[in-house]
Amino acid sequence: MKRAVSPDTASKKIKTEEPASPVPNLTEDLLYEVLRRADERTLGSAACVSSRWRRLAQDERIWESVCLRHWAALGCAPGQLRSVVLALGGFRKLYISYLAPTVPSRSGASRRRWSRDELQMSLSMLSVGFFSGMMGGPKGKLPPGQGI
Amino acid sequence: MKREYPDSVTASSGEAAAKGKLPASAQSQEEDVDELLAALGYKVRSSDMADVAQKLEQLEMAMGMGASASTAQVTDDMGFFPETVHYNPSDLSTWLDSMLTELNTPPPPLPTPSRPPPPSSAPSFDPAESSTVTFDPNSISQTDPSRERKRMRTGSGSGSCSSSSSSSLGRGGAATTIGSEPVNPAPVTAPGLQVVVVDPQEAGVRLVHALMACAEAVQQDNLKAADVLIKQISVLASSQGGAMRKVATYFSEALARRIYRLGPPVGPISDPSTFDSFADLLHMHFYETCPYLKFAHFTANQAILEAFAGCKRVHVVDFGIKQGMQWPALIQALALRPGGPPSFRLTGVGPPQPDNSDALQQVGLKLAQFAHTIRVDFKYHGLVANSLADIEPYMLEDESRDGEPEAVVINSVCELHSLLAQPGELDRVLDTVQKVKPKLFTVVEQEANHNSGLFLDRFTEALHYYSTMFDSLEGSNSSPTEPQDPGQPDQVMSELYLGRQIFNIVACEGSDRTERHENLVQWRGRFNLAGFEPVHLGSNAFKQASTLLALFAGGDGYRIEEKDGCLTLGWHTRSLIATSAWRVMAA
Repeated sequence: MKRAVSPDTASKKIKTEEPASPVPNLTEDLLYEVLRRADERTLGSAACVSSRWRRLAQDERIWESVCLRHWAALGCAPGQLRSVVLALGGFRKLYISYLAPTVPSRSGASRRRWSRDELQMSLSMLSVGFFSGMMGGPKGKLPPGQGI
Repeated sequence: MKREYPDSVTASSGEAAAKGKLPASAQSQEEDVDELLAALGYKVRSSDMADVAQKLEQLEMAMGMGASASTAQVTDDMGFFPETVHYNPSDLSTWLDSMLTELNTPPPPLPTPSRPPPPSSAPSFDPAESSTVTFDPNSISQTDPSRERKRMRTGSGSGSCSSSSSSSLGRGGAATTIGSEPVNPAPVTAPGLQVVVVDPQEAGVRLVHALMACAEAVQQDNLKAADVLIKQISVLASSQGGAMRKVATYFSEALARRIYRLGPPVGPISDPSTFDSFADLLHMHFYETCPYLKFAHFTANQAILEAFAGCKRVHVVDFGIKQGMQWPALIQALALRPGGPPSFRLTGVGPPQPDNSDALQQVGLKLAQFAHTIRVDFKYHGLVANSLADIEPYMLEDESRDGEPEAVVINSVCELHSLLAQPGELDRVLDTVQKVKPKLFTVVEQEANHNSGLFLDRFTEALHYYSTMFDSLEGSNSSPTEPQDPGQPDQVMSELYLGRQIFNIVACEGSDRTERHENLVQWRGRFNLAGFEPVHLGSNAFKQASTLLALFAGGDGYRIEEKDGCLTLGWHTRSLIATSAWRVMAA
């Protein structure tokens, strides 16, 4: 869908594989900066645009800031948190599987701040989920909420 | 809805009853007409008022059930208004009679007069919301159906249940009774298949009464009465839906075992040889499906985390490690501790495996791998023990005595109650715990007294407890993190898990009866005597638990309560599981 075309061709597209306004030809860095400031729903939509966008929208650094944006008080060093969460499946999985379900309405997601207990609970659940899914585990099934 | 039906009419087909009830319609109805109703346009004789009221109730019931019943084939055939015949509704009495007569037209002969399903199979019909069912009254024993019917109909002596149930069902005729063709000597071609239109609420109450009566009969060793009641129970249970039916089935099976003493236990419920691996599987499903065990783990972990604050070397002894599901969360919490994780040692106690597989070591390996993933220094020691009483303090000692002393916590989730089956075992265990001098002794147990000396008390308590449990399973059969259709394997496995407990409580005695649950008050007494004092679980634990419930969609019915520093999780008003923490009393 995204080809290296000249701006002229891009602007007068006749073949409509894309929405009305063409996908802007941003560099990776710019795109990353834009997505980094987006909320969760936007990230979800962005991941559906193209495989390049998907790769960027699912970047762990972005999701780490999504999660950190919401946590009221950390209680531990960010580096500490990062290494643990990444080892156990990542921030995106943490968000999708264990934080997002606590939000009753979709629209409230971006405004919500999670308390320390909710953070701890979601991390505990992430641990349990990871442990369950480990090889030789009692239940090798994937935790739900995969794919955004 | 209390209905007082005179017992004069036992069983009769609808028509016969209706005829009897029909006021002489040819008579003039002008005299004694009730004035208030007359003002509304209805002509009802004052003397008929009570009668009319009753019939209105029946009609409402019958029509209501007809509307909701969808699965029973017979209902479809019945139809409520087969022909459009208009009756004058202002003559309320007659109109009601005619309506009821239509409803009571005995169902047309079933198109396939099939034999009833083999009685040995579990009742597979689906009453669900509808109370109109076809059922096989012989789901437990092989008695002759017609004899069965007669017994139900005339309600001979035993159990008030049968006589009153048939009388209420047969009154006037909102229902054909269990013996649907009593006036015809020749039974229908499908003797086992009957039609019952039953008020589920009433049947539910009668079911409970029947269960209690049966338990009482068992306690009094009145096996004949118990035998009769068992059959009634299966009949009544089939009219129920959902949780009540399942609970009743488990309890009646357990009672049947107790009554008939059919020898060594077989099958997934009671066979001890299938116990360990199957039990582990059921335990896993129960863990996944409902929040009780998660609650237990997370609240205990919070207490342990707080007890370990500032300690560089920590040791946890788990009295029943099973699949080790409690520990990943604790290891992770320790990993995120400000200041870094301590070195963590875990001793997992488990029973010997029948097939000599080293389940204990496998769990340890997994946990070690997990700890390695998040860079927590981890050591594991598996301790095989037939009984917790076999554990001596030296087995839990720290072998590498380098550096700081260990801070020890002993954790027991639903492991202590089985010790009560053998006298003296609990005391030995508590003595060992005392000698180890742990910083904390976390205990989780079912919040119920299923260890009374009297069988009937035990039975009653268990009935209420497990009814509530099953209700909670039904009421919360999906959560956002674990979407599943109702009736999926997880739920069924969880019910089986509970069913085994029910079986043990009701059908076993002596050293076999290991599910000797006791409530917080009782445990507190025991711990006090043994020299322990309570440690209050903090508000953090409470908040954690509340957050856990928020993640469970079916969290509507769950309640967390704090009782003297202990936390309990229950369904609506009934506490079902309790977490408490203890330490050795300062001398």
